[in-house]
Amino acid sequence: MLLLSGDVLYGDVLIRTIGNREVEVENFRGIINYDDKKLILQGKRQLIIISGECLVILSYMDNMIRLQGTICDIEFRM
Amino acid sequence: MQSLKHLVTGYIEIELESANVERFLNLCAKQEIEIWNFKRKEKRNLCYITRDGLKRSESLRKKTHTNIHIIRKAGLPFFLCKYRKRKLFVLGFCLCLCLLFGLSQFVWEINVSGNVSYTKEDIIKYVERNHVSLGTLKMKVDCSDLEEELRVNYDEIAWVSCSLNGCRLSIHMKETLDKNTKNNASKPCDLVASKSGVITSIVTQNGTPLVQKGDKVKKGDTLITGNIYIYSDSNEVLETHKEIAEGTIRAKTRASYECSFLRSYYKKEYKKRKSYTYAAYICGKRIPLMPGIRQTEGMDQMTEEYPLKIGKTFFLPLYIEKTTTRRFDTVKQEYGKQEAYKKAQKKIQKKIREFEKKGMKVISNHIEIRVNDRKCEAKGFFILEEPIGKIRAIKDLSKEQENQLKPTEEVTW
Repeated sequence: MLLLSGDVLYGDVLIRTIGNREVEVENFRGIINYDDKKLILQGKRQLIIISGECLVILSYMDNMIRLQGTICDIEFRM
Repeated sequence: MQSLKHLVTGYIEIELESANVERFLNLCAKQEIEIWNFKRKEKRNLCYITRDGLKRSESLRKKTHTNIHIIRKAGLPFFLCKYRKRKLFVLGFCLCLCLLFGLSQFVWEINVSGNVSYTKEDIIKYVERNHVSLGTLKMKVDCSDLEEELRVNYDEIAWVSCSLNGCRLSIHMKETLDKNTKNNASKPCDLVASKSGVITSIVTQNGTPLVQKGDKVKKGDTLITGNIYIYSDSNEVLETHKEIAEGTIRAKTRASYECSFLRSYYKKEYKKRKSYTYAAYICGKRIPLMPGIRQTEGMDQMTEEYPLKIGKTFFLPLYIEKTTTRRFDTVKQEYGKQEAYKKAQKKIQKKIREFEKKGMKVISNHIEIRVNDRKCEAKGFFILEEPIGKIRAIKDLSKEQENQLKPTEEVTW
């Protein structure tokens, strides 16, 4: 049986954090809302809510986003 | 790396005004328009976009009813556009580049390494006079020719390599320091004593040994002969082969030593204040940058040269010369008896180290140190153990030596 990861099989989002200073999110559909305290992303099946302080979008290309700031919380909402 | 690319291609800081900025961002990302450092500051949406991205986002801007305000333009294309009217500046820049390129085509520095018996200055002077003077076009320099010339003119050079690195001509050489290589003969020869002494060991590799351990030899005596005799059954010489005599012969020798020095001497007491003067050398011409100080009695001057270069190898034809002048008073002093004795001992130790460097072993020293009111004298001799074999053209043996070599017993089968 092939062992494939969730992002390939089910289109799950991939989240990578560097401490609480930086977050990289891949495999999402788009930005729903953004301000300097909250970023809401649309995943395939759920919303990803990243909250923190002084959030800055370092780069946003195709389906990958890099966010910098003081990250407090990463939440998934169906 | 990314920021360097942005600098080269040019980027713009913009402010976005829209009811739905997120939609504009999503569309830009789908169209692969690069947007970075997006932040919301006091209800203002600030971000950076590439020059090309701004043009491509025009349709998206209309679609999402977004207003774009340009805050700042940066990068090379905007810089060039801003200063496009400054023709002289561009001309000067181009001239500077041309000058740099032009100057980099010449040799501005000669570097010598690996020299021991020849001085660096001697070799540089020879190269400058006969082959490559400073300011020669690099394409005119034939390194293999220079190597050949150096090998021909300097006998002690065993191997030499010349190469051009930037504006520097590097000469790397190896000298024939190994005395044994000098002793290598190509024709049949004898090994003779270079000094008088008592043989302590003899190892023959080729030839016929004429001495053995414990024998007293005089300078010039044959130690190993290149003649190899083949005897008949009746002990008569049938054939004589002439070979290159080879071997290691060590002997106990005597080296006399004498040294004396006055107990009173003059010492320089430097003053704290130092004066510096500077001068520039442009293409070999000295241009003083400030009035120089003429050297008089009671004054030491030290000159240092600093070549100007770009990077490690691009030497410019420009030197800065720094001259440091220090004034001093001469004070007469005298070594105490103990001090003079110690100084003489130090000199003897130095001599011993010199012997050891030459491959000699100091067995004992018989030196007497005498200190009187005026001077200190050290006199005596060293007993050394050293190699004494030296090559000489082959010579026929005397009757006595031949008899010595003759087999004493008849061979019985």
